[in-house]
Amino acid sequence: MEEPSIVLETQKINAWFGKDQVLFDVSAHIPKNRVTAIMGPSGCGKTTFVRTLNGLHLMTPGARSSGTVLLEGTDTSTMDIVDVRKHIGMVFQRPNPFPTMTVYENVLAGYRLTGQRLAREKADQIVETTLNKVGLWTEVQTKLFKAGTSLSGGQQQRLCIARTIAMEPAVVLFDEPTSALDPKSTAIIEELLSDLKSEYSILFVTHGLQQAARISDYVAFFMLGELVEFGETKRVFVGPQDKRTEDYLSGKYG
Amino acid sequence: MAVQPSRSDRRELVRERAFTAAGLTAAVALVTTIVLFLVQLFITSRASRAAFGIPFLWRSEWNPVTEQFGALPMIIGTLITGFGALLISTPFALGIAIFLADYAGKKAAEPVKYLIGLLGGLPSVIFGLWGLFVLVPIVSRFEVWFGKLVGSEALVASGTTGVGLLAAILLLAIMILPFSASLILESLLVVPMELKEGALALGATKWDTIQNVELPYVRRSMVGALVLSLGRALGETMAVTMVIGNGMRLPHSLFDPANTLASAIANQFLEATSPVYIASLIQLALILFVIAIVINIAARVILRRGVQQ
Amino acid sequence: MTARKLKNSLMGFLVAASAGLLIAVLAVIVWHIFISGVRYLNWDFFTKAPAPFGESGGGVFNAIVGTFLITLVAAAIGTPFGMFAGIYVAEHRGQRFADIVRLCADALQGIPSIVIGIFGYTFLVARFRSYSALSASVALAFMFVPTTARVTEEVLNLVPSGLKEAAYALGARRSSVVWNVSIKTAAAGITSGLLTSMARIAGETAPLLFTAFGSRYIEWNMLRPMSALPLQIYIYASSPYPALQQQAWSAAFVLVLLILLLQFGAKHLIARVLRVKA
Ligand SMILES: Nc1ncnc2c1ncn2[C@@H]1O[C@H](COP(=O)(O)OP(=O)(O)OP(=O)(O)O)[C@@H](O)[C@H]1O
Ligand SMILES: [Mg+2]
Repeated sequence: MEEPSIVLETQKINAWFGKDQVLFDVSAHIPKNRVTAIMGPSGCGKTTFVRTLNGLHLMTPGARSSGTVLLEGTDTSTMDIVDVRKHIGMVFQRPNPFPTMTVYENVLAGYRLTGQRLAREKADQIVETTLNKVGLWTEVQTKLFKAGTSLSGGQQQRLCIARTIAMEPAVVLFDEPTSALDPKSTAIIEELLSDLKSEYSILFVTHGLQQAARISDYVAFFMLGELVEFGETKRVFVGPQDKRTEDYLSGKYG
Repeated sequence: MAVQPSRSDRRELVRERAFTAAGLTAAVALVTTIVLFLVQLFITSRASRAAFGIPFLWRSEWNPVTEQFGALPMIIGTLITGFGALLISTPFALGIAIFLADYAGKKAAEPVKYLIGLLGGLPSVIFGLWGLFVLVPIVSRFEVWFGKLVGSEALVASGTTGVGLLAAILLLAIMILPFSASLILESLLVVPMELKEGALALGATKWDTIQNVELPYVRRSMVGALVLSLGRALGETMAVTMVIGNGMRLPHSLFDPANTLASAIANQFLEATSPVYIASLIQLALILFVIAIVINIAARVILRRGVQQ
Repeated sequence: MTARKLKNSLMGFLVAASAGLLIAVLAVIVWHIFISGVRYLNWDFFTKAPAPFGESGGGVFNAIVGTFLITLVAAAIGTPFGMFAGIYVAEHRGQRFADIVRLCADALQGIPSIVIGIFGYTFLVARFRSYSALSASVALAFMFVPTTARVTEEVLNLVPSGLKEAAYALGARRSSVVWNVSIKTAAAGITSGLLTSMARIAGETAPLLFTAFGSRYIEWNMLRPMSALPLQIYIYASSPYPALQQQAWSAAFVLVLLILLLQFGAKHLIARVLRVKA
């Protein structure tokens, strides 16, 4: 495999909740069109890290952060945060389709919420291709105008993925997207992530070692707010360089 | 990756600014309202302060004919009716709240809560109407009976109308009952289940638990609830106006006609013609306004501390 | 039985009795309004203005029209202020100024209605030298704004933060998130709050005494004096004529019916909100 280019680079990211610092000088290079898994024990700052990338972290009252995020070479702090978020999409732990919108409207929610109007054919086309990409089209074709919340949990999560990639982001952040789902839905979504990497760069928080081994190309190990190891999944799982990673992989932490 | 702002982006930005401005405007307007009330009432009551000064507060004469005005009778009337109503209604409010929190099952509690909401939602003027035509005749009969009992000729003769402080107190007690009951209930519902169960597990009876665990736990918020209810009672207008009798003098007994700050204004404002008379009534409104604001803010502060505790 | 157990049963009886007493009082009041109100109801009562002085018959159509107009205009004036203030407080939770705004809303809710009436008089009626329905609506709007602000804030706080974050993550601005996500999700709750507030102000008398003033004629012009049901009830109840006192009861019946209708609507909308959330 040739070396992929870098889509997202973080330089010395620190983050605080009030006086508690939860991230320490995190510097990482996230490769383009790859799945990068973010791992580490509970509370080590995985969620906080991905939320600093799209600025959601700062929306928590009292939260602060410092450091630089480069999106394809551009310092995101020079961009309108709204544009940053259009380029860095996010899928959350719990499926959260908008309850007031239909399946169809949920797919187009990003356009609607950012005030972009679409012609009818264009809209129909986006809905169909996007739902196809997440493998939902055949399942929900007849339910397009039912409430998004009427779908099953796994379908709802795929709908949320659809709504995110409908905006054609460069990077998609996933914060434990399968932890609230049953094994079958989990399998479907894992497969989906592998398919999506040809078009998007994927950053993926997970608790499961197996899951990371199965679908990620790269892994980032966090511990107590520090990035302790980053590298190709195969290499890290076989021969971790940091003692802490090794301990984690052998199950010494929760 | 610097994106040219498209037309929809610019529209969004304009909308964002308008939205932020609207929110801030409304918020500032709400705060300004209190100041506006204060200033407006203060300015328009100037003539009264010019004539009577601060002693207006404790002058006991209220005479439109000689144009001598003092707020004491109304202040006394307001305090007696307010505290009287609170005194009567609190035990019942407490009882209702305890019943709903600890005794009634969900099936019984829901309809009772609904009825409380219903009683609390009835307009003041409806209570006034009912008070005037149903309660006042009963009070009148009671007065005569009571007068005979204590052998007071004057009472038998004077009190027979039934309108006066007593009728106002009783009516007010009914009116604030749903309000204080639901406020007390709210505070009782936050008592942690484990606390109650802990006491019950030690062999305490239900009432022991309520008396020794539950009530001490909510003491603070209960005080807040009662202060809020008092504020309600002090400012209540129409119902009191209709049954209190518009008495201008300091009341000597509970059967005397009297006035509260609110009822004096409602009863007399449209008849007031001279500037001093009008200004003095507005001055009453100003006093009432200040009392209401102080009581409400105090109650909120007490309630907030109660929650934090 | 020990003394403690005896006390326990006695107290159980007493608290149940106080609940029973409340129900009894409510029943008596409602019964009186129903009995005395229905007795004099007839078609004229709903469709005619008061009869000329000294004649019998006539109705309160003028007051019904007035109550609707004054209440609706007050709600129309108060809704934007109340909702935006509520949105402001909800969106700036934890900030000092937002806390002050909330405290002011609470304090305003405690302002006695007669003070609002006097304020309306000195602020509008005296200034423009005429009683008018519009000044009554403005006065009532001062009662409507704080309740609406508090209800809006409370309902917005119930919107799951995950939904708002999802919207922000898609690149939405705050105004868009509030309008398209929060308000829409909370729409039923806010509507029901507005209906409850309307039920409140529809029954107010004191703010109208020195503003709307009252009128014997069917009036549609908001710039002129106008009657309203609560005002009419007060005036008729205070009159010495039994015929008018009877009409007061009937008007009370109509007013209570109207308020129950509004509250019923509000309650059912709340039920719908809860169902959506579950
Ligand atoms: N809203 C908050 N306020 C204060 N501290 C917080 C908040 N959210 C998280 N933290 C703290 O920040 C640290 C990092 O939390 P974070 O959610 O990023 O961990 P995580 O690795 O995602 O954990 P998990 O695997 O359980 O999801 C933790 O110590 C947590 O207690
Ligand atoms: Mg997490």
